[in-house]
Amino acid sequence: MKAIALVMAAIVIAMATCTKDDGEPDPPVRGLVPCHPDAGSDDPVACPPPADAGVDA
Amino acid sequence: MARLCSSRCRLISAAVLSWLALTTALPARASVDAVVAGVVEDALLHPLAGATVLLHDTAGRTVAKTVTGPDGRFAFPGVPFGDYTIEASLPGLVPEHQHLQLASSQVANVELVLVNTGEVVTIHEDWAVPEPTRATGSVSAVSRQTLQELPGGEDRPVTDVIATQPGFVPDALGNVYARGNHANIQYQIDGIPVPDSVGSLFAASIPTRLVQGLEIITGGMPAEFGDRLGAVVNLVTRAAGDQPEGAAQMRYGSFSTVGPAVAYSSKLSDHVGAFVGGSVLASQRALDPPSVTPILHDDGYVARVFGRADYDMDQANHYELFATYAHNRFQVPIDPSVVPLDPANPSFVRPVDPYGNASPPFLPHDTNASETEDELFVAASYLHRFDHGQILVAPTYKLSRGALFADAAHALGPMADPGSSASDVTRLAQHAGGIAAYSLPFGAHLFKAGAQVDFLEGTTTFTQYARDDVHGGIDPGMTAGGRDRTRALSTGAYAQDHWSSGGFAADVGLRIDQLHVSLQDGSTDDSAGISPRAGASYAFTKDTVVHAFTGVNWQPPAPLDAANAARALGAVPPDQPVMYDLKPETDVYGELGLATRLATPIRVGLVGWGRYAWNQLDDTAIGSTSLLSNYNFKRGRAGGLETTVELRVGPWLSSFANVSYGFAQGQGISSAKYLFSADDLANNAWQTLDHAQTLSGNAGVTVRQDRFATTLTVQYGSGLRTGPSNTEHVPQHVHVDETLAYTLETGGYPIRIGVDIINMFNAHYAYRIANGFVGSSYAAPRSVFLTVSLPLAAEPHHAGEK
Repeated sequence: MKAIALVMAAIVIAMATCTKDDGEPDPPVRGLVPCHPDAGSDDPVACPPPADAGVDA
Repeated sequence: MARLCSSRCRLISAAVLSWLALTTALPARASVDAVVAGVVEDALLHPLAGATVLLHDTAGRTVAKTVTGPDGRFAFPGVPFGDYTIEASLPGLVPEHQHLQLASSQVANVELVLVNTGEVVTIHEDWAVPEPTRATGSVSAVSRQTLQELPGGEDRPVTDVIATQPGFVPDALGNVYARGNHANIQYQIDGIPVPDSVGSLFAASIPTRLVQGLEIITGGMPAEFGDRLGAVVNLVTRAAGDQPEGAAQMRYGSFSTVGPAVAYSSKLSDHVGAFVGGSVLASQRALDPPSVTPILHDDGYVARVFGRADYDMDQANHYELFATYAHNRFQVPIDPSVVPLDPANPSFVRPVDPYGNASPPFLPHDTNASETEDELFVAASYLHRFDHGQILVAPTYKLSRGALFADAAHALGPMADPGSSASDVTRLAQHAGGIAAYSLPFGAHLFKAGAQVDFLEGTTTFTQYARDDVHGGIDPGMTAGGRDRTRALSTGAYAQDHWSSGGFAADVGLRIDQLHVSLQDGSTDDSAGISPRAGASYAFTKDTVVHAFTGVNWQPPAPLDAANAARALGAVPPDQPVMYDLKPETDVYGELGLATRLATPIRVGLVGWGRYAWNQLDDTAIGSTSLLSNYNFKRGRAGGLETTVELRVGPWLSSFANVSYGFAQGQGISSAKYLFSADDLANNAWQTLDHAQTLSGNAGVTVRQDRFATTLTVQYGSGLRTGPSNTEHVPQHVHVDETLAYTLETGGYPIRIGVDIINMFNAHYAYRIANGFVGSSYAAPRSVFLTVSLPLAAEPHHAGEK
C-alpha cells in the first residue's frame, strides 16, 4: 500500500504542476482580416464579388 | 512426503481465485472458434487412457470436459477464443494444468504429464505472459478483466478500447482508423458479422458491459472474413453463468455527466440462461466539439438496452438470441472561434488558420442543430455440433437510422454568411441477411466453409434550404426536398484450411464476394472480387514465433452513404439524382511478424506490413457529426511497423505498451466527385490521407493489491493530417488517464467504488483541425467521474475458495 500511496501522491503533484489551463478560449477567436484583391477566386482570403456581380452577366 | 503446495503457492492460488471472481461470466459460443487437442501421458511419456480433462474459463467454471481415449488423446472443438486453463487428472497421479490463450481458428496442441505423487515436489503457479500465438496474422486480445480495469471501465465505448491496440489511430467522435484505413472495421458479435455503415455509429453503440472478450485482427485475415478488412473485431458477449450475477451502477462527473446502468444474468433453468442490461449516459459534452473551451451547444445522451438468451437443448444443439438497441441524441456543436462577417465592411474576410485551412462558415449561436441515431441489431443463431465439426446458421436484422436536423430557421438567420445553405437529412438503412458457417477439425487440420448474404434497403430523405440574403432566414422559394432510395445485395462465400504440425501452422483460403446495387432511377451497378489468402507461422521454440501472410482483400463500398453526404452538404441539386460511381477496393496485402517471450514475465512483438490498393476507399466526415461517406482514390498505398511489449509480474502487476509507425497515401480522387473542389480533383499527386498519423503509442499499467486496483494509461499521437493538401499535421499530444477502484467487502455482496480521471494533465489538443468541410474536433480537457456499483447478486463462490 505504501507504493500505491507514493504513486498517488506523485500523480497529484504532477497534476498540479503539469496542467495547461490559462482560462483563455482554445482555439482563440480569429478576427476578420482585409481581403486580398489579388487572390484567386478559390483562395479563402479572396475578396468577395461585388453585391451586383452576375446581375448583368 | 513431497510438499504439493507451498504457502506461496496457496497465496497465489487465493489470488488466482480472487482474480477469477472478478470475471464471472461464461464465454459465449462463436463461429470463430479454436480447437484444443492433445495427449495425457505419464512420466515416461506413455499415453494415459481414462484421464479426465477439464477446460476452465477465467471465471473458474468448467466449459468442457472429456476423458482420454486408449491413445491418451483428447480434443475440445468449438472453443471460443479467450483465456483458459486446461487440467488433467487421474486417480493416484498428480493433476497437471496449463494456461492457454486461444485465438480464433487456432488449433492448440497440449501435452499434459501426470506423475506419481512421490515424484513431484513443486507446483509452479505461473503468472507468466502467455506464449506467443501461432496465428498467421496480427491478432491481439482484450479480456473482460482488462475492459473493467481500463479508465472509464464498462462505460467506455468499445472503440476507445480498440484504440489502445497497435496499429490503431483514434480520432474524434469515436472513430478509430486501422492501419491506414479510414474506416472499414468489421465487427462480429459471437461470430456473426454485423452489417454496418462506414461510420462508427454502431461500434460506438456496442455496450462494453455486454462484452466478455475482444479479439482484434489488424492484418492477415483468413478467408472467412470479408467486406470490411481494415480490421476485424470479434466480440464474445457475456452469457448467464451457473449463479445469478449482476450490478447496478451510477456514474457522475464532469460536464454534468449522469449515467445509470444495470446488467443482470441468471440461469432460468438447466438449459436456459438470460443476460439483460441497459444504460443511459447524459452529458453536456456529448460530441467532440470544435473547441476545448468554451463548449457551445453540445448536450446529448446515449441510451442502450441489450439482451441475450441461450438455450442448450442438449450437448449437440445450442440456440442463441441476441439483441441490442441504442438511441443517441446529440446537439451539433458550434465553433466559438468563428466570427460573423461584417456587412458594413464587406472587404473583411475570415483568415486562414496556421495550416492554411479556410475558416468554416459562421453558424449563429442560437442554432439548435441536432443528430439523432437509432441502432437496432438482432441475431438468432443455431449451432449444431456433429461428432466431428459444427455448423452455425444465423439470420440477422439491423436497423440504422440517423437524422440530421439543421435548424435552418436559425442557421440561415440574419448573422449567417450570405449564400449559406442547410439541409435536414434522414438516413434509414435496414439490413436483413444471415450467415452459415461450417467447421470440421480432422487431424491437424481445421477446415471451414461458409456463406453470408445481406440485403440493404436504404433511403435518404432530405430537405434543402437556402438563405434569403436580403432579409435573412430561409428563402421559401429555394426550399426543396426529396428522397433517394438505394437497394443493395451483397453475398460472399469462402473455404479455408488451418493446418498445424509441430511448430508449423498455415492458413490457406479463398473467398468470393459480390455486390449488386440498385438505385431509384432503375440503374444498377455490379461488382465482384476473388480473394485468395495464405499465411504461415513457425515456432522456433514455444516462446518464439514468426509469421508471414499475403493475400487479396476485396472491400465493397457502403452504397447508401454517398447520397446521404451529398444531400447533407447540398452538393447535388435537389432535383437531380446523386450519381453512384463508388467502386470496391482491391488490395494486395502482406505482413511479416515476430513474437517472442523473452522471459516468463515479458513478451515482445514486431510486425511490418504493406498494402497497395486499386480504387482505394476513403471517407469524408460531414461537419461536426459522426456521419461519414465513401469515395475512391484511383490508387492507394500504405505501410507500417508496430512493436508491442507485454509484462506481467505475479497477480499484482500487468502492463502493456505499443508503438506504431505508419503512412497511408492516395492518388487521384475518382468517385463522388461532387464532394470536392476543382483543385482537389485536379490533384493527381500522391497525397497523405487525412486519417494518417505517423507515430502512435499506447502504454498502460495495472496494479492490484487486495481489493484495490489502479490503472494508468498513456496515449501518444504525432497528429492527424491537416492543411488544404494534408501536408501539415496537428500538434502532437500526450493523453494520460487514471482509474482507481476499491471493492468493499460486504458479506459476499461486493460494492465497487471507482474514480476515473480522464486527461489528468489537462492537455489541450485537437484530434483534427479543419480540413475542407470536415470540422475541427478537440479532445476533452481534464474530467473526473465517480462510479458506484452495487451488486444484484452474491459474489460467486468457487470451489476451493475459502
